[in-house]
Amino acid sequence: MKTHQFDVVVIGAGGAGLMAGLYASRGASTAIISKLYPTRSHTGTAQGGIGAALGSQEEDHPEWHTYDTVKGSDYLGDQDAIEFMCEEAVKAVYELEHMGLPFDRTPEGRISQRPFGGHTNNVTGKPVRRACHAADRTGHMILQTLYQQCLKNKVNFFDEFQVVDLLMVNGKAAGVVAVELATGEMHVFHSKAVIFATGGHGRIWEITSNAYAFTGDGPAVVMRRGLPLEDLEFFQFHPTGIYKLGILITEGVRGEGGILLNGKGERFMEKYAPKVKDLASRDVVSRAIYMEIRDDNGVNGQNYVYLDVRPESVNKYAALDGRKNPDGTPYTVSGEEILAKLPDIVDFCRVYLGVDPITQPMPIQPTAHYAMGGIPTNKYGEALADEKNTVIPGLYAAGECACVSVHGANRLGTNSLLDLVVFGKHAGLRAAEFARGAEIQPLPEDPAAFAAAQFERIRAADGSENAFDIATQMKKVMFDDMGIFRSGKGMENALEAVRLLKQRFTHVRPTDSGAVFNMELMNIWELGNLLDLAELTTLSAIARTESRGGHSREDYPDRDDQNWLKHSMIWREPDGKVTLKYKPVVMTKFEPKVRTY
Amino acid sequence: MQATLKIFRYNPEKDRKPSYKTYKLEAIETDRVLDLLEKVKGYQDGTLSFRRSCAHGICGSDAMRINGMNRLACKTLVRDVGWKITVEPILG
Repeated sequence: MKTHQFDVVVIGAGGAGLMAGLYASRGASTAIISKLYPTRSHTGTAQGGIGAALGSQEEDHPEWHTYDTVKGSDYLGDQDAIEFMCEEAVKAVYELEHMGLPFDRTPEGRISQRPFGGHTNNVTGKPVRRACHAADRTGHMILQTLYQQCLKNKVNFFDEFQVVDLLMVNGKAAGVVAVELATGEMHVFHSKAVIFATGGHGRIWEITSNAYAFTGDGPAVVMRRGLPLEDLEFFQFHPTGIYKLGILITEGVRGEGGILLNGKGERFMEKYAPKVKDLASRDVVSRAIYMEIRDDNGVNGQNYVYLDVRPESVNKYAALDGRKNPDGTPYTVSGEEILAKLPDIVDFCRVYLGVDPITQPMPIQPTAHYAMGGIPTNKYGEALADEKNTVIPGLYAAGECACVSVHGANRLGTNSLLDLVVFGKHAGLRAAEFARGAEIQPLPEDPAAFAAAQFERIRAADGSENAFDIATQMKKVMFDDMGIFRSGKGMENALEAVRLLKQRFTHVRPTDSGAVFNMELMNIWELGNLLDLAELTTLSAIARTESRGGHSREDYPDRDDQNWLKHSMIWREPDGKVTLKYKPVVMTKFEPKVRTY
Repeated sequence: MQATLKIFRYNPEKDRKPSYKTYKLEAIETDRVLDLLEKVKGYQDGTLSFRRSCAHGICGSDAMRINGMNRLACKTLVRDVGWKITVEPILG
């Protein structure tokens, strides 16, 4: 066992982790620990853009962005945090630009912005250009830019180290325990502050846009140390994943004028969101696709619909909608422009489907995409211990693994990149400030014991069950019964199934007994995280007897502000006992209203 | 149809030098080579270790030499390379 000491350790090297590490490193000795090589993090797959009311091409205001985000959250987002994020957004984009991020430009040289779902002009209700983009690789550019800045700032990187435990001493963070993948050795990172930025857990579901790495390590580790997780029942299904594969097709396709068509060739979003149609919020569009498929309006009787971005289709519907360019001329696109604006999307479709989106529509279905819930924090990234918002000294979280909550029950597109840049930065600043004024906690006697015991249990199992089978069954039942539409009966079925799988999981043993790059062992541990989070997600969802944002129940189809305008907090004791508590939503300016698009 | 994966293996804890190991499994032509590697790892040989993350050609983790060419396993479909597939590390 090796021990390292830093003021601040950051877990995860995606956008939030790099931003946190960059800012922390300006005032404290900082290490970033990642189970991947940093530029392989999942932020790199974010496509469409980062939201900020720059108003570079048309009128826009941070207040409008704030309202759209509150409405998008189905009024579950904390309005003080949302205001803060949307105000900071403009600064954040200029800051990224100054760091060297190559945003696309307008012919006049300003940062180009495209429309995105749920982002509107608050006066007319029409879509507004708010998503700043670098082709359809915005996340990739953010990741590369931030990684270079971190290297320049001499942040200490521990690549391919997987964090498996959080150390808490005297109620304060004291560091983390990690496995060095190349050797299998345990390392203790002793620190004054710990920032979790480990991303999401979308690998719980069968059809997912998420990377293999998205196994909820941060929330699972924190939860095992007796801390709560917030709003787990809210998980976003993105409307447009490649059929069967789940690979994301950015909402930017619809921002550029793409439309959804059912098997009869109808532009069905006109029925569900008469005002903004294909650019409604993601939960609304995913439900619409599901209902079309259920009503036998899928293409060729299959479980998919078409996303059509062929220039002739875009131009036809843009004319019908009266869509205009910022200079007032009618909006039209050519095949070359589509290819220039959406090169990766065109490439994905050609490689995986043999479909050319310039000449053929793309078969799509909703795909598990984003965890709105996670480790509870305030708007400074400080992790919270309970429903009274008690701050845990030295512990922080940012990005998808955190729940501030700025996304509430449903996240708007472009707000995840914004979230990780803004809250990553503030978590880093706060952690460094905390470290400057704090004494380091003593390490516990055998700091790696809790983590080592988990791995010993896995290695000592009888080997009568197969991890791949268990994962496959978990994903299927969670997609069927804990997906876009839910019901009490279905969710109870999912809960029973997941609990049975957890039982079977205790019999899984790796066949690889080695220490060097034993990915089988690590993947089994990750499956344990997914099973735990699947169970807690299902329990949180069963308790919430209403429909709101991404949590849509057939047996409780309406939003119930009287009883459910509140965040859930779930704890699991070591003996498996689960406690659910609730805390109020922070409201400032916006009273809940009926949500239509 | 049955695919054959011939994989260049080396375990520094046990092996003096690397060698090829062959696996056979059912596949369809739209399977990614990465899907096949995952299945081999899940059902035939857990000691098979390789890097992967995003699984759709962005992150670059699963760069490997497939049938003599440097490619991403997640961006290479069976129909691109055929049913006999040789997997080796990318050349340095």
